Amino acid sequence: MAAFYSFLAVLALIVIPWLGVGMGMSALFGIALPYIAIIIFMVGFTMRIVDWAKSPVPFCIPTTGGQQKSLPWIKWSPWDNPVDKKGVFMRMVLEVLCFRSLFRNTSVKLQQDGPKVGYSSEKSLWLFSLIFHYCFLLILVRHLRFFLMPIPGAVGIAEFLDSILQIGLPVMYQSDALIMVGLLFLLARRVFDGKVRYITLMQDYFPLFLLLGIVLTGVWMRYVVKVDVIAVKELTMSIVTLRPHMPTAPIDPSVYAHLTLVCALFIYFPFSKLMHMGGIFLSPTRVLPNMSRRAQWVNPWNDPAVKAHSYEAYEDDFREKMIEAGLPVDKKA
Amino acid sequence: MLKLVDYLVLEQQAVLDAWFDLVLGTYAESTAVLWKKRDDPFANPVRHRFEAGMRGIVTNLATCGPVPDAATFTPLLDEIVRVRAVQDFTPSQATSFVFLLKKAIREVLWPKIAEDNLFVELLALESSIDVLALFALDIYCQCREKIAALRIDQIKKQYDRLLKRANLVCDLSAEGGEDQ
Amino acid sequence: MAKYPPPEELIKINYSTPVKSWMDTKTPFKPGNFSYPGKPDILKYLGMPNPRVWSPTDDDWQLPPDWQRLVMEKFRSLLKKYRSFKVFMDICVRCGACADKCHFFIGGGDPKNMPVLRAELLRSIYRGEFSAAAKVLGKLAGARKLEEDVIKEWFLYFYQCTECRRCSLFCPYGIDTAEITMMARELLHEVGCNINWILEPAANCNRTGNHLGIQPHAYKDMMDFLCDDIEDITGKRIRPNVNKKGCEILFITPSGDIFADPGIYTYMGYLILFEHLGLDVTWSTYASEGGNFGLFTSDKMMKKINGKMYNEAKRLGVKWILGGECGHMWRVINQYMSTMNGPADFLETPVSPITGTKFDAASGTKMLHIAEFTADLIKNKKLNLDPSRNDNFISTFHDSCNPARGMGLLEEPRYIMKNVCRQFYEMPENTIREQTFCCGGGAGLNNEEFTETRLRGGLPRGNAVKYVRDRHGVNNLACICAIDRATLPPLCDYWAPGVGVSGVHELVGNAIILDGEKKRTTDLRQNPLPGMEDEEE
Repeated sequence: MAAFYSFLAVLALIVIPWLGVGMGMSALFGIALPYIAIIIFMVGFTMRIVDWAKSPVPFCIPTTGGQQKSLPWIKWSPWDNPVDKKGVFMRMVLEVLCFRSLFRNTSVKLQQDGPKVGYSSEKSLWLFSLIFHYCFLLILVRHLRFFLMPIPGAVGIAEFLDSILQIGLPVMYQSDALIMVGLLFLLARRVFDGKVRYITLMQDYFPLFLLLGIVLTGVWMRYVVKVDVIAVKELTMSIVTLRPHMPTAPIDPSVYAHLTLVCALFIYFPFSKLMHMGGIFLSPTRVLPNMSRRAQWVNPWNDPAVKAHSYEAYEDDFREKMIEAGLPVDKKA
Repeated sequence: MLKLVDYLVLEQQAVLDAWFDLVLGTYAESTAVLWKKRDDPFANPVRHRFEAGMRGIVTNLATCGPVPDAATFTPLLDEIVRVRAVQDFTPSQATSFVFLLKKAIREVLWPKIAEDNLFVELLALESSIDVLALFALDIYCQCREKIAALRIDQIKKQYDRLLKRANLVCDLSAEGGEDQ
Repeated sequence: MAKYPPPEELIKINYSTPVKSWMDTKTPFKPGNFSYPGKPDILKYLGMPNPRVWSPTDDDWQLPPDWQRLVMEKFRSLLKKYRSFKVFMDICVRCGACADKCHFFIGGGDPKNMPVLRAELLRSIYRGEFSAAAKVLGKLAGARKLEEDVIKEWFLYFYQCTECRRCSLFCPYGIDTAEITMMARELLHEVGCNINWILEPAANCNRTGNHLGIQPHAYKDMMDFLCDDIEDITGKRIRPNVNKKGCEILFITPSGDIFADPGIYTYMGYLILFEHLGLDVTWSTYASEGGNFGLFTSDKMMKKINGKMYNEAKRLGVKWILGGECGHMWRVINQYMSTMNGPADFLETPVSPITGTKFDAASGTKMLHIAEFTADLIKNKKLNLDPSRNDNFISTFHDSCNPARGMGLLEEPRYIMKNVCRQFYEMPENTIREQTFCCGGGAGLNNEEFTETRLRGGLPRGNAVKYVRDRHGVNNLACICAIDRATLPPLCDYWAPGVGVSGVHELVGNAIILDGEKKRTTDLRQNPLPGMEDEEE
């Protein structure tokens, strides 16, 4: 049900601009909406991050994933159990660039007949989410072509690598296919794996459908309708340079559908779980070093009024008995 | 002509799969998915134990003759019953998985049974399975008694030494046996 | 073809579970799946709200009249106090990586024991009360209203979490269910829903210095009792310092070890070790508890109980503190102690008086783990050891959750194990070290009424123990945690009969050759040593 509603919502986001542009509202979808979306995204994203960053981290609670730094002759895991900023940096690099925690999903398998223990792993989630995220990044970089003048060399390199297989005309980008694979796998898990389906909510389906919609409209534009790229760039550059105007050449309605879906993503982003992009950098169990036994970690709301039951009160309670048992006391009876 | 037990050996895997599915049907859907999917014995011990036990039961059932003996089947049933004894089941639910084997056998082997007219053998086999159910009941009770004993032990351990130190109990072990 | 008749006994029972959203599934309370609630007099002593006599199986939980307001106010204040809480409420993508990492889910299969769903129990309220959009979409967006059934659900499932943090290790964002459980328990305290097994030890610890409420003279008495046993075994009389001022070191260990089997043997191991070294160390009755059930209650309680350690170190004028084998005690010391009650600038960074090693790892808290201390001694060959005395034990090592995932103490105890016993085998890789499985009794769930659920949650650990038992003949599971020593024996007894449980320092105590000791014929448990079976006393 949740999946169905999400699907309908995304479908609406495609149909509305398509029809709207036909009715002559292209400026609304081509100019006004992108500005609104970008403003909401930037303000919303910043506010969320600031809101998190402002809340205190009272305790140093990293989840340690390896041997602590201890005696010099004991082999230490500096990336899984960092003690300083440098170690945390490496841990986060591995986490953010390689999804290390998901990769950890290893398991030992026992071969049926035989004494050997083999190792295998449950890494499909890791693999497909990695594929999805990297393709998404690559596609974003490629799209910089529409927003920058002159086009930076890095964009060219990305395009070259992405189309290295030289299939079709216009040349097919591998990332377009791979991101579909990644997204479809992530969606299939939610639909077919009962365990994951049980925990899935509407806000889990919606971004998946939204991204699928973006990819599909993008593919449609590039490979099927083969839209007028010059006109599109005229529009996007006019937006970026803050001199918005509609291009003279007509643009296919699918561009507006694509653009609207992207805007929807931008608007939705700060209010959703997609904020994990920023949240990971503020997750205390990952970004804190395991240093609280080496140095002082300060809790801003530490309440000095909370005091232990004092020794004096304790001795007052038990003085007779302590003396009788031969235990030293501070005050004689 | 082949006997029913021969078919049981031949179709072992199919019977096992059917039985396993029926047993997993006694759990919540999301749980069944997990226990079905992964076959790592340490990450998914429940499946591992169930599978080991069930395979042994079916294999031995094919060769045990008319009267299953407790020594063979108890350790195999134990693999399963011990787990189900701590999973919030009523006694009947916990041991019902044995009867599901009947259903699995009928589901898988019915065409052969009907074709070769093996109904008498089927009755015998089902009687054997009934005996297994009785074994399972014994194991279930042992497990529950064990849990009760563990709870009592835990309380005893908490107070035992205190009582001894308070000289409230007579500690025979500290004084040695009478024969000394 | 004839259709087969279904076996009659199968018609009567319908096992199929209706496929319902988890929010529509009622919370079943059955004897064995919950812990007994806090007793009113204990709540009163601790100054906690809504003391009353009640049971989770009651229909009416006698919540205070404005309980919804109380819970939501606390919710808001916790969100303000903890970034962890806020971030963890917001960023979960429900990828399911954690789902099959929880021992309670693996062994029992209740979907609400999946860490993600355990957290959703709170998140659904967070959305329903703090997010306008989710409020409108309701159940589709995983939002719901705070009703009495929600409180019941929280009580069941947040007291079915042992705060072991295994899920946190596998979460791509490090979402820590232990943190979420702590918050949920604080919310439940507001309306007086808590368990006695946590509160009574916390209250006892506050007043008498230990969980059991042992008074000082009784503590001393039991210590003497253990010294008697050591004298019987080794022929040496040990006279430990208690509450003595001016020693170099204060030693603190969980009180569970002073009288409960098999912890007492570990306790005897400490006594023998200190005697062997001639260490200038004192024990304390005021701070006779290393464990801190405050960790399972609230930050305030944790601070209050933990404060005694530094108080006592200051009063006795020691240079540094040595801590015994304990799980959550070390989570508190490593991650909370100095922040709450430090800085301990009246103490010095621990330096081993025997080897001269300076332990920089403890330069902030000035508190050293006994495993670090002993490993250093063995490395520097300062212990006179006879590992053959442990030949009756074929051992494996169980990493306790907190030292593993809240500290990273993995190699030190293993190094000790390998030096004090000659037969040592590891359990499978994904069940040890940072991936270790919980004993099922952490976070205050090691009570007797919870045994059944604990055994269920103990299956993954039990299964790994059974594997090394069958494969290598392992008969001893060594650990460095007092809760482990209480909960693993029944766990092994049920899942891997024949495997006993010991502390690491029990084995150290067996192996140490004291100066001038008599020929030992038994180990610390007074079982005959290898080759001494026929020896007469």
